Amino acid sequence: MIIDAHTHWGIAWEDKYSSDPTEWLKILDKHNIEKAIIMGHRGLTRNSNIRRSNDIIKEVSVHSNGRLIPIATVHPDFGDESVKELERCFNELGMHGLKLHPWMQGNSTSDPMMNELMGICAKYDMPIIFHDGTPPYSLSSQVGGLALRFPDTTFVLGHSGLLECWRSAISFLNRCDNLYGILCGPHLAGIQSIIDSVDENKIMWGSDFGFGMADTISYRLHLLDYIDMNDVKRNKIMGLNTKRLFRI
Amino acid sequence: MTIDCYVTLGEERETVYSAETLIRDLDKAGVEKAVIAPADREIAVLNKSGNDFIYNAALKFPDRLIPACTINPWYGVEGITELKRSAERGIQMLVLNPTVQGFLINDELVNDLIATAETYKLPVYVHTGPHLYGAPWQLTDCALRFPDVNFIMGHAGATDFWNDISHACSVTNNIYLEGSLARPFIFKAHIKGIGVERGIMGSAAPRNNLVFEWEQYRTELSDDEFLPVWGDVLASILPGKGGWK
Repeated sequence: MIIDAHTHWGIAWEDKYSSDPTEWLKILDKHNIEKAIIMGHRGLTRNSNIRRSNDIIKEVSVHSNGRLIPIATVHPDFGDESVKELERCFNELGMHGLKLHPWMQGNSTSDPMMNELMGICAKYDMPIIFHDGTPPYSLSSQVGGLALRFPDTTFVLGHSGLLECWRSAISFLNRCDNLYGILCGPHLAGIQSIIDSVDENKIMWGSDFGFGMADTISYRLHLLDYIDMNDVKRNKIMGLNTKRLFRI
Repeated sequence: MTIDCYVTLGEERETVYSAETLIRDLDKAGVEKAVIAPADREIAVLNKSGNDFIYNAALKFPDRLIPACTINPWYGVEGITELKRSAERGIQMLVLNPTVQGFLINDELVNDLIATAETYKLPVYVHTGPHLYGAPWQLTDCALRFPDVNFIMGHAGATDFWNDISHACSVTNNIYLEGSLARPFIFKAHIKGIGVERGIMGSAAPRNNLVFEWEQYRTELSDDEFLPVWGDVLASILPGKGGWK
């Protein structure tokens, strides 16, 4: 069973298909991927109607026959409104986690509102997927810093450091029990190093599919064919860890 | 002609890659040649020994391996001397890695080195992508300063500068785009934007698997539309046009 831990309902898909994932799911079928964690895209932009964006992600999930696991997003800048929206996403929409993209959203991980949002996620035991690998707000070390500051909250490095910060990601993944990583961005040698040096229960595979219309799954899925690891580890990384962490 | 524009040889922190293994991989991938360059420590500090190692590796397979050299511009006059020594024995490309070597590509620090490369008609491969020292527009600034030098934008700004590429390449014609690490689905869009006559294939092996990279890029970029990207574009800007001995 393969579960993709990092996908988006991209703006291009939303504009074309509203909340109907039929065509989107065909790409998953092509690669024998059973389920996917799905995050928004439009909702990460400042001028969007975030409430509506979260509703669309939920609708996409409903239309997927249980294959797409919805993740909420909120903007820390919107203060109490973001708190209420996050509570709504967990209580009413049944979403399985929070996505924050400080680079796109323009928020520092040191923003005071982070304290409140991290607390809510801890209260509901919901993981937070962060974009990481990009300065000045989304370095892997900055997300790792949140993991150190909020030990009761579960954090996920959405890219495990991309091409430049994967060594930093390894260090924080090994330092913080509450920090997980998605293999989606480092090159082959970087991915092999992560797999060789980080707890196999803390690593997931993801494709970033859906941000645009291109099929990003083929490359990122088959890259793992060149990784040296046993079947037990491979099964965990390709699906079991994601299933456990996001309670699928 | 098929040429892989960027392969490093030797022992790095995560990989070990010999000339013999590279030849095996080129054969598997159906690729005729590769440009080879020093890696890691030999890019940062031990340039001369790295350049010698690469030159000697290319000598073993002169019809398949094309040597590049690297110089850290902080070496100043000593670096210029090393570039001249390398060029006069046939190296075909200068590789600069601003992040690893600690400089900005549009800093005047690098001017003398690039001016020397120009006298030997060497293309200059510049690693891009790292945020502070690898921005595509920094390279554009440098390329405008040296309009008669051909620059290769290594990794096409991957990961985060993908949205700058078409504009950064649009204001000057002496920048070519190399796609290793950029991933085929993004590189294809870049090449469609700037033109196939400026696209260059590279694998960044052994950090990537050369055979896999060529397979994936060839699947995404059809020969009908992108054939020159596999080597003809690169050959056209190398002083030996793909040969060197």
